[in-house]
Amino acid sequence: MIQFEHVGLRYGVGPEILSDISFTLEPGSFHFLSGPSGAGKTSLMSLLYLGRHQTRGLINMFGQNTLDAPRGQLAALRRKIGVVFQDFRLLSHLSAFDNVALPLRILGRPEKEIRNNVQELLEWVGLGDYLKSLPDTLSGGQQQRIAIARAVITRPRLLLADEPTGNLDDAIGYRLMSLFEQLNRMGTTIVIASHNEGMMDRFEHTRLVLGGGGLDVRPPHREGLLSRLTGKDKGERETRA
Amino acid sequence: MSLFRERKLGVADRPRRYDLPLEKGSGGRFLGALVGLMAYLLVLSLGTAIGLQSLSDRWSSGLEGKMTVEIPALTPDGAPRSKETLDRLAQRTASLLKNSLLITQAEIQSDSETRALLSPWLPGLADGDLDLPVPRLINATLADPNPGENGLKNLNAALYDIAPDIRLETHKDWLTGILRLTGTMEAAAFLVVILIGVTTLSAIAGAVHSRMAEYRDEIELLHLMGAGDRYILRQFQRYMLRLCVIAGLAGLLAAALTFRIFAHTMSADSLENVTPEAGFGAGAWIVMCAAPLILCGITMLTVRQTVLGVLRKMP
Repeated sequence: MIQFEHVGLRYGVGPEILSDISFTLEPGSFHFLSGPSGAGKTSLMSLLYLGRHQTRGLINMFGQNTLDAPRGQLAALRRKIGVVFQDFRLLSHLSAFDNVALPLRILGRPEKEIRNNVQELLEWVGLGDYLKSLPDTLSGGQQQRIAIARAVITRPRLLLADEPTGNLDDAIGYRLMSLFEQLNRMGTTIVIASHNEGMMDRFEHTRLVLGGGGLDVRPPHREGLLSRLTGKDKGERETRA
Repeated sequence: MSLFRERKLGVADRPRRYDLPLEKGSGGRFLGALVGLMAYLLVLSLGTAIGLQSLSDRWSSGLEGKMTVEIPALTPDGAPRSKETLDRLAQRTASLLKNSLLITQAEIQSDSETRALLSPWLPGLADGDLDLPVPRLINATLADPNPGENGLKNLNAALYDIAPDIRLETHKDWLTGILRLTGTMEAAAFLVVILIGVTTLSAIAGAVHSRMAEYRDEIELLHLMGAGDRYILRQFQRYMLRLCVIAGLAGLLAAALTFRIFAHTMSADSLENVTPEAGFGAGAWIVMCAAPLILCGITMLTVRQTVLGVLRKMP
């Protein structure tokens, strides 16, 4: 579904932030992206959500070479991707409801459907009482949950999350990870960038580890806590990167 | 509920009109004022151009192909002519004109009509308060609006035989001058219309550029969510259309009010007796009402070109 071949990225004439990155994300796979600060996690994520183009190599997403894709095609590709940004990037003049409704409005869904879906999802993430609240009046954790709701509202084929549980307490963090697991079970490919080793250890998923500009693919080294709790064999969904 | 109030309370009272914060800040109010002012000036210039055109048309149609023969009230020696003499000379002149091949119609203007015609310059002449001798006029219609020099020369010679001081006026010379003047003013008014259009469009293109730079992050976010260029363009177009319609209507109303004040001033100064009626017909009003709409249409095209141009440079 997503294939990186010898991808490199540099900003301007500076050194390569990412060099010779190659991996494949199969449909329905779940990956953690980790690495030390400054290793290029956010840069790699920006390539994945088509926020920028690579400076070398080939990226193939959903059967389309991203460098060759015309603008209209790029927009169509982006509609298959949901993103939770590290800084949330909520629109401050829109209410929590309107922020989450935005991707559905872009897709041109009917208002009635939007109203029902958004309300249901915001209630699920514990923000049912904050539909009309403006983001600036909410806490960091609440804003993060709105950002997550916005990213998953369209049930994207690929979900990218940059430190999605960073501002959340353990209970809500675990609940949101369960949401990601559920989406994954429904076929959504998920990549979560995190440096929270504790959280990653609790789930049995392949890790993409960035370091020194390169990428190391590490298979799950032990049963994740969630797998142990649910007793499900998640190995068959794992993707060899 | 205003954005300020919403921000104070921390809640939005209704779904926002636009995904981009286009209604935020004072830029929108400035743009609205600019479009309103431009619409006002546009309608004013257009109205002036139409008014001048109508004025020159009326002058032309009223005087082209017409001729006036004047029998002075005083002889070349300065002696006044009696009413009987003036009547007799007028009858002979009218008879001569009616028999001429150059003339299709000739009519003696009554003394009271002449006095009424002169009254704006000589108040009291019409109602008899001022007792001055007035010339006798004969209005004639030419068979050909451009009679040859020879024909007029022969007619002049025949009139000379009736009385040597009889004057023949075809209005051609002064009408040409007046029409040239109104034509120049008309062209200037149309030039102003074009300049207003170009200035408005440049200002709108500049304002849209700066708004796009201001909201670059938000636009980029919409892009990343899969919004196509046309989706973002629609946001700007809807915003600008609403602004243009409101500001354009305000400009149109203000211009109509200004014309009303002008008309009232002209009436108060009794200028309507000097100039032909210069009021706007239904056609002129339709053109003037359409002007702000056309301005809106052109604005939409400018917004489209500007927004798509900027978006194409974004990832």
